Amino acid sequence: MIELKNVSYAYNEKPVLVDISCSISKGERIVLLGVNGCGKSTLLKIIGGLIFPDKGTYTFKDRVIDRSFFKNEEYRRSFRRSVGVLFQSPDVMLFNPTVYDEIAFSLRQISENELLIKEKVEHWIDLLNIKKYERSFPLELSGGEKQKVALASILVIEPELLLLDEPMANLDPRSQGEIIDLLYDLNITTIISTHNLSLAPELGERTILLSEDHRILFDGGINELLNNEEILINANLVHKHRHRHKETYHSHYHRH
Amino acid sequence: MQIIRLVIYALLIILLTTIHSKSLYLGVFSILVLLDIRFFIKKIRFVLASILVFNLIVTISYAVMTFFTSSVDWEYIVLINLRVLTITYTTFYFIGHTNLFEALSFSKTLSFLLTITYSQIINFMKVMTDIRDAQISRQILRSRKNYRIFSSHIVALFFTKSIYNAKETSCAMRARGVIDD
Amino acid sequence: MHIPDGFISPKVYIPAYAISAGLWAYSATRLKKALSSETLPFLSATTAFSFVLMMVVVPIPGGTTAHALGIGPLSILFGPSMSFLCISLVLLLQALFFGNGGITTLPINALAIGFVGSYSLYYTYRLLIRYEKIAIVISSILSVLLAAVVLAIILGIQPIIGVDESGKPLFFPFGISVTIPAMVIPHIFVGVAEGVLTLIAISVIRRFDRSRILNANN
Repeated sequence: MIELKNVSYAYNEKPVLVDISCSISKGERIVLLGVNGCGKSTLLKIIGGLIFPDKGTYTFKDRVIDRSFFKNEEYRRSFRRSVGVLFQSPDVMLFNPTVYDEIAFSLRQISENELLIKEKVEHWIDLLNIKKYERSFPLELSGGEKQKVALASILVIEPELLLLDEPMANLDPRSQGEIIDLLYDLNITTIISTHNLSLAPELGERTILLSEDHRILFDGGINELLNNEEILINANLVHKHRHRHKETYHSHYHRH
Repeated sequence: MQIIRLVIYALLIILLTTIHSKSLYLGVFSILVLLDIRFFIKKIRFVLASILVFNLIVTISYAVMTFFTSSVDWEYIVLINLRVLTITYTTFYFIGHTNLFEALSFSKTLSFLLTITYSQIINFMKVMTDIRDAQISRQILRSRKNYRIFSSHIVALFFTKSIYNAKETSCAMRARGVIDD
Repeated sequence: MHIPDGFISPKVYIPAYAISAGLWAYSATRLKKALSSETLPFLSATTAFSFVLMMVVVPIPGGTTAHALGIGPLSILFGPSMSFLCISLVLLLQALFFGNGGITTLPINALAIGFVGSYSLYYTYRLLIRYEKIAIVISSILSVLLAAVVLAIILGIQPIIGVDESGKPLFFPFGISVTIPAMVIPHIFVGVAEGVLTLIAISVIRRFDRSRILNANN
C-alpha cells in the first residue's frame, strides 16, 4: 500500500529525515517510535501528502505522491478521503461550532443525505461516548474529549489509512485506555507515532524506529525491539537513574 | 554596544538615501556581503522575497509608461533597484547582528509588550503550519463555505492559545516581580 | 502596503520619524498606565493578531492581492492611542524580522495605518455604535481607505520632493494621479475583508473577556 524509497527531508537546511525506505501493507498496524525531534511527525506528514520529500519517492497504492499528483482534482479528493491524519494537537483540527458539525464536516463534503449523515455521526458519538458534548463548542472540551472528537471526525468517512501523531501525548490514563480500545477494533491500516515504550505494544505489531540522526534504526516486530536493550539505548528510548527496589537504591537502564 | 550599532545603521540608511550613486550602493552591498559571506545565500533569498513584488510592479510600470511617452530611463531603474536592494540588505545585516529586544529595553513596558507579542507570533506561526495542514487534510471538496469555516477557526484558535499563553507568561512575570500589581 | 525601503525621500521619512516619535512617547505613557497583568495578555494577543491579519492576503479582482491591516480589534477594544503604538510595534516586527515593509517606510506606515487608521476607525465606530456590527464594518472600510489615501499622497509627492537638478525623480516615480487610484481602489476590498475579520475577532475575544475589562469606551 505504501512504499517509501530513500526519502529525505530537510527544514531550514537541517536534516529531518535521512534516507528512509520501507514498505507498509494493507491492514498493518505500525508503531512509529523515536524521541522528540527525530522526524516522526514529518514522516507522517509526508505519508499524509501534506509535505513532499526533498529526495526519494513516496508511493501510495502504486501512485507516486508528489505535488503534481495533487494538481489532479480527482486524485486529490480520492487521496484526502482515503487518508486520515490526526494531529498531535487536536485543536488544529477542530473547526466547527459544535461537536456534531465537526464530525459531520467531512461527510457533508461527500454526501448531501442529511439522514445518512446523522446516522453515521450518531453512531460515532455513541461509540466514543461523547453524547453529552454533541452541541458543545469543540475547542472548549478537555484534551481527551477533543482527541475523541477529532478521531471521530476522521473515522466517520472510513479512510483506508489512519495516521496518528502522538495520540496519547496529552491524555489522562482513562482517555488513553478508551482510545486504545477503539484502535483495537478498527480494521484500518494505521501508523501511530509515539515515544512512550510502555504503550507501544498495545498500539501495533510492527515498529519502525527512527534514530536521533533521523534514519531508520529498526524495522520489525515490536516485541523483538523491546527485548533489544542495545538498540533502545542507542535510540535514547530508555534511561538510567537512581531508583529504589525494596530497601536498596541502584541505577540501571529501564523504561517506565 | 547595541545602541552604537543602531546609530551606525541609522547613519548608513540616511547616507544611502541622500547620496544617489550606483557605485556607493554597490560598494556598501559588496562590503556587507563579504562581512557575512557564509549567510549570503540565505539573506539574499529573504531580501529578494521582501522586495521583488513591489519593485517589479514599479519597474515594469515605469518602463512601460516611459516607453510610450519618451524613452525608458534605464539609469533610473538600475539606480532605484540597487538602492532598494542595498538598504534592505543593510537592514537584514544589522538585524542579524543586533539584539533588538535589548536595544528597545530603554522602556520596560514596551520591552514586555514586544517580547510577549513576538513570542505569541512565533508560537502562532508554528501552529499555523499545523492548522494549514489539518485543513488541507480534511478538505475533500473545495468550497467558499469551507474558507469561511477555516478563517473563523484560525481566529478562534489563535485567541484561545494566545490569551492562555499570555496569561501564563504574565503570571510568571508577576511571580518574578516583573509586573507588580 | 508593504513598500520596501528606498522609495521615500529623507525629506519625508526623517520628519515622519520625528512626528511619530512624539506620538509614540505619548502613547507609551498611556500604555504604562493601562497595562496590568490582566490587560497584558489581551493586548499582546490582539497585537499578535494584528500581525497575523497583516499577513492575510486579500485577493483583488484583476489578479493582484493586498494585505489586511489589523487595526480593528486593537482600536475598538483598547482605544486609538494604544492601537497606534501596538500597530507601530507590529510594523517594526514585520519590517525587521519578516521582511515586510522597510525601516524608512516604518514611520509613514505608522502614521497612515497606525495613527490615521486607528483614530478614524475608533471615532467612526463610536459615532455608529448603536448598530455595532454595521459600525465595525463601516469604520473598518473607512479607516483602510483613509490610510490608503495618506500613503498614496506620501508616495505620490515623491516625484515633486525627491528630484535631482534636472527635475528627474530620484525615489518613487509616480505622481498622485497614479498612486491614489492604484492604492485606494484595491483597498476597498481590503476594507470589507478587514471589517469581516474584525467582527469575527471581537466576538471571539469577548468570549474570553468575561469580566469585560476590554472596552475602549471605559
